[in-house]
Amino acid sequence: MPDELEERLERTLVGLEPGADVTERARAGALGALPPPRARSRKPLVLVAAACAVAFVFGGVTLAATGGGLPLVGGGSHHHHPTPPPATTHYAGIQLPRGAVAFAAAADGRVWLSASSGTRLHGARATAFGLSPGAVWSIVGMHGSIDAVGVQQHGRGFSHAVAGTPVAASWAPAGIRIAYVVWTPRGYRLFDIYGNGTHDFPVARGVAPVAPSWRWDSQVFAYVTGRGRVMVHNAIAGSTAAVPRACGLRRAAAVAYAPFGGLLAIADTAGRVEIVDTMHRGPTHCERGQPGAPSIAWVRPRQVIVGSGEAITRYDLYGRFAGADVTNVPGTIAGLAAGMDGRRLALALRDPVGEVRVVEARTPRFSSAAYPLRVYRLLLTIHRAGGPVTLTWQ
Amino acid sequence: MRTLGDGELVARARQGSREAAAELFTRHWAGAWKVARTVTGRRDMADDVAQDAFERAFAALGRFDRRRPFGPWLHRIVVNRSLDLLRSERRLIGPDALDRVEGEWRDRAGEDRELLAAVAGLSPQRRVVIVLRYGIGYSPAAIADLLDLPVGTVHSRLARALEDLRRHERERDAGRA
Repeated sequence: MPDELEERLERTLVGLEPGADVTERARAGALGALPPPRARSRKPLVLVAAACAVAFVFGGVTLAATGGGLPLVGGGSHHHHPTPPPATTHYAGIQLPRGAVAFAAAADGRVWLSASSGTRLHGARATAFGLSPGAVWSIVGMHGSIDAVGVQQHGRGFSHAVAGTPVAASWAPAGIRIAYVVWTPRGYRLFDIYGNGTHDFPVARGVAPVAPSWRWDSQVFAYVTGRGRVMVHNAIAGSTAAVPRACGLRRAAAVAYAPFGGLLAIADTAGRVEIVDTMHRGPTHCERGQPGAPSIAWVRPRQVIVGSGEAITRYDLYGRFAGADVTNVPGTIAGLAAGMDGRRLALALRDPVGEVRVVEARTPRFSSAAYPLRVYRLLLTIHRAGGPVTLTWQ
Repeated sequence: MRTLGDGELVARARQGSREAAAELFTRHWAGAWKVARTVTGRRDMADDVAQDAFERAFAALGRFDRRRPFGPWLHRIVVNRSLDLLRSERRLIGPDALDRVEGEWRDRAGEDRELLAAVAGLSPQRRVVIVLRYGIGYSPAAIADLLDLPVGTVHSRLARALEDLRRHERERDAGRA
């Protein structure tokens, strides 16, 4: 005879139901995993072939005996019946790329994280996400706050209330500052806060929801205004300067500082790329890649990769190999990150139905001829991610 | 199609009938998800675990023994996948922050959230027997068969889980008083 607790358990657990969208996604996935139907038994075919062979032998003997010939009809055609690829199963957990201390993907308000310490996040809710240098801490944006949460250790560093929803956050390479963008009813606003959660400085209003990029020395960072202009803010002096427009660039959609020096790569959705020296007034490089939402990753101090559309374009700025090459990728690029040594890339590739596969690939060798992309392995599958995918490789 | 048993549906699915496979999915998806949800304690994780279990089950239909029931076989995959994932995932923050960051147990208003939270506080092994017993409706003997455990162990896990839940409720009531 069940008691009151058992009756409540039955009521409560029986009432749990999956969402309709999840059900449809799972149905499609499950049906897609069905193995191809088993081929019919070959026994009848063998019998037919044997009969044909017997007939051929006897017919040949007969023809030879009668001096006749057989006309040839057509060539030796081969019918290839394409067989569906073997069904593959996957688990949507995230894998750690080779050599990485931590790797994270953030999309559509969710984040996946894998760290060498064993820490995992699996589709956790976060409106913005970033990793500190060495992936000791993560910065997690939620509605109304940003939190520093331990990755290499348990615990929370700080929780800081914000008047809005954080949408992007970038930790300075030295770990002393965090630049973050917050959505408010009056538009996007940019802030700069100490790495310990104290001293929050408003930097600008009316900015674009583009992740700021810090210079290697953690003194300045670049961000994009609501009108698409690129600004450089000095976090020490509190001053801000505009990067001169060049290369016909319209509205900047991505910015990324080089790992050393003052080179800043800027890209727009039309495929225009500007690489400007913000420290030494060196020459500005104007490049042209594929149209599409751009993602930028520096692989060497003077080599940068811009992914957009269905290709990654690699620009070598100086030296005898100076130039650009293009590598096509199997999908539309939704995100891009480079390993610490620049030899490996992580690419978020969206297929036509909206499924995103994050893969680890070898950075193509620079050449005037395009090298095919060599994919090492699948790191993560995100079902139906509509927006950009922010990849972080530490 | 409704009148066919699971074994017949499996046979047809093996021969390539997507209708039969879809019917199998319709019959067992909610139960599989419910098991994943209760064992993992998280809706987002349950979505992936249940889907992954179904994909594995369908990909392995050729190896399925048709003389055995399909549901328990699938639930065993779900339980194993859920426990594997929980083992591999090291929680990086405390329960209070976890609830906030990962949005645990955010469900329909009609659910008994406190009871669900208490179930989530059980050990994974006890959560498994609770959901199989009260969420799916298996008998202790069927649970023992599904989990390869002695029936006595299932009974003791159920009893201890219920005792944990009762203790939790007593402490909650005392706190309110």
